[in-house]
Amino acid sequence: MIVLDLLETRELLWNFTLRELRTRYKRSVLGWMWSLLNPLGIMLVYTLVFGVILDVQAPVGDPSRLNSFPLYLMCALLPWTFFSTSVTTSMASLIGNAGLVRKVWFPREHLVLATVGALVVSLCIELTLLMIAMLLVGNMVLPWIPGVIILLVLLAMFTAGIAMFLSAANVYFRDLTHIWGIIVQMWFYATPVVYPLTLVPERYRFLYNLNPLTSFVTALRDLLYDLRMPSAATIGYLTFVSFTSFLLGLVVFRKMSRRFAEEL
Amino acid sequence: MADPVITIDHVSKKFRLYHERHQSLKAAVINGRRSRYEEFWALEDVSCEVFAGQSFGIIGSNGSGKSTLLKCLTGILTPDKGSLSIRGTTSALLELGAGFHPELSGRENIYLNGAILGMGKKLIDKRFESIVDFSGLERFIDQPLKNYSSGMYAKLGFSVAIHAEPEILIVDEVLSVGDEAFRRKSSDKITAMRESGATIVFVSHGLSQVRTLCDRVMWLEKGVVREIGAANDVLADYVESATEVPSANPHGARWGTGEIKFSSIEMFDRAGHSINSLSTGEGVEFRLRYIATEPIPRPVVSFALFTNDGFEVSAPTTMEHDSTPEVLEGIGEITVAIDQLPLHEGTYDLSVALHPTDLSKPYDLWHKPFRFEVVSAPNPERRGLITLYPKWWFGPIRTAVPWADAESP
Repeated sequence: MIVLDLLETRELLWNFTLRELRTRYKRSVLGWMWSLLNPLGIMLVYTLVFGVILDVQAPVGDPSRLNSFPLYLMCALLPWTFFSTSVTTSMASLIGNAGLVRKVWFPREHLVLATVGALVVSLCIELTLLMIAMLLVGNMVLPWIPGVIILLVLLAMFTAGIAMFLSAANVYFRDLTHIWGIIVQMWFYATPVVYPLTLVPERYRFLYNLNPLTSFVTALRDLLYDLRMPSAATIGYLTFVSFTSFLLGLVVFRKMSRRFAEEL
Repeated sequence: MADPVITIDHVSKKFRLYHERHQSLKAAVINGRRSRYEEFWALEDVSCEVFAGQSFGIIGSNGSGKSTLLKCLTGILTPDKGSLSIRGTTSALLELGAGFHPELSGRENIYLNGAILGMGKKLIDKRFESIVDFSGLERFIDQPLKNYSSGMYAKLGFSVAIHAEPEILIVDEVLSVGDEAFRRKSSDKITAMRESGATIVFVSHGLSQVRTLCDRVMWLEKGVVREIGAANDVLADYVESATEVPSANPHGARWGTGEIKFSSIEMFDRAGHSINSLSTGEGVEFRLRYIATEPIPRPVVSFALFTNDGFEVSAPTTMEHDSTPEVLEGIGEITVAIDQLPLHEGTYDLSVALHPTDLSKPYDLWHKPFRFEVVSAPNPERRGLITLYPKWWFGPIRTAVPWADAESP
């Protein structure tokens, strides 16, 4: 039922998303280039610090035989950055649109969904470039594109769920913005982005795998770096987690959004 | 009558007035889990029904809960008790240009704002020309909004909102945007929508607007319904209660230096009978008695006529009519004669004043001490404030005849 409501007002969602996209790089000289330069910069730093100075070894792709720390890193860094940026931006966007929320009625979740939606567009561009890079080094990723798309949908749902939950809670309790700032740092290092999961001691692996982001980055590496199907357990777990997150996030958001106009 | 399109059923809304608002962790820890707040009922047990095609007005002083009720109607706020139901498409002119983004062009913003107001892309495509045309901003439509003046901004917002062409239009005192010409166009458009059968819910302080636009009115006071009924009845009671309240204005209802003061005001008909009401078009004399403690050279006498919702109909003084007396002294009577009072049916207030020639501090300024009724003559005009006693002629086209020479056939 609640998802059907979303379909009815999808034009508004589309317009909000367009607003995000159109205004994101207005008045900056390089414009859309920034959405590529930013991940490239981070890639450079992390490759230098972790790949060269700390000498983390990227595992050899199985069965792709690919061995490249930057590419291994990017497979995890792109979904991670998407997730963390989406949640942070969503929390700010609800507060930032307080004037609108106080004056007009519309399904409030669209503010969050549009933020996430606009970042999905960026992620798609970034992933396309990553796949081109993979092809250039001889990794035949094309057959795995459908898998990547499914994974992208699940990641977007998972992220939107968390973003809706946290941005709604943030309206009532503004410290959450700062708490999230710390959590996001810890979560980053708790996810095997700059190191392979194999470096984690065996007895902690189970805990590690409970982190949905671990499964997301592992699955994306399976598809693009190793060129293999992720395990059925991973796919099942991600599907479950994504749907739960999205629906729960939406229900909680709807419930909390009733008093947004007073609390913002 | 058919089922109501809007049903407000025992709606109550409470707000929290926080004493120490803590939206932060530190405050939450120090004060315990709960914030300290008082509850305040902005609306209490409000019920009413609005039927299709009606124009429903909501009046009340500031803080009476009008805007809260509108926000509940539009879904921005959720009532704590009771329920609301609306049948039909709704558009609310509460906030013009909701969601406008300064970096986007007028064109892009029309689509964005339209979507927020619930219009689909196809619908906006169809009405786009008309929206731009109404706003009168054709030349600027591809400019980013940040280059617009605030008036242009409001015009664009109003144009989009009005083109949502809803079955129910909810208006909150936004009719006064833009310049005079745009304002007239806006109110014409709303009148046209009303005539084409749209239901209108209208909130305003401007009682004359409510009077011309609405057939039923609800009067809210401190969140409670004081009266619902025919517009004229409710407005009359509202005005009466508002005038009962003593004025807090330091100038008061009457002030002045007092060298000369009015002592009484009376109204007489042609036959010389003291009256309190008359018909449109009858002759009337106002007789103002005065007492002067010293001779007053060239005092300016003035009076002003107000409708009972405070609109100033006319305010002549002796200066414009070259009638200022050389001197007034002792006691005496000033008579203002009006051959044909052109006022339509209604209740009117009279203010009177005596000023020195330089119009500095008044000797006596008496605000609305006298009230009278005008009843309608047979077959009255239905609209407007006054009659111009027009005469009508019908005949061949008289193109070559200049104005001054035009003679009635």
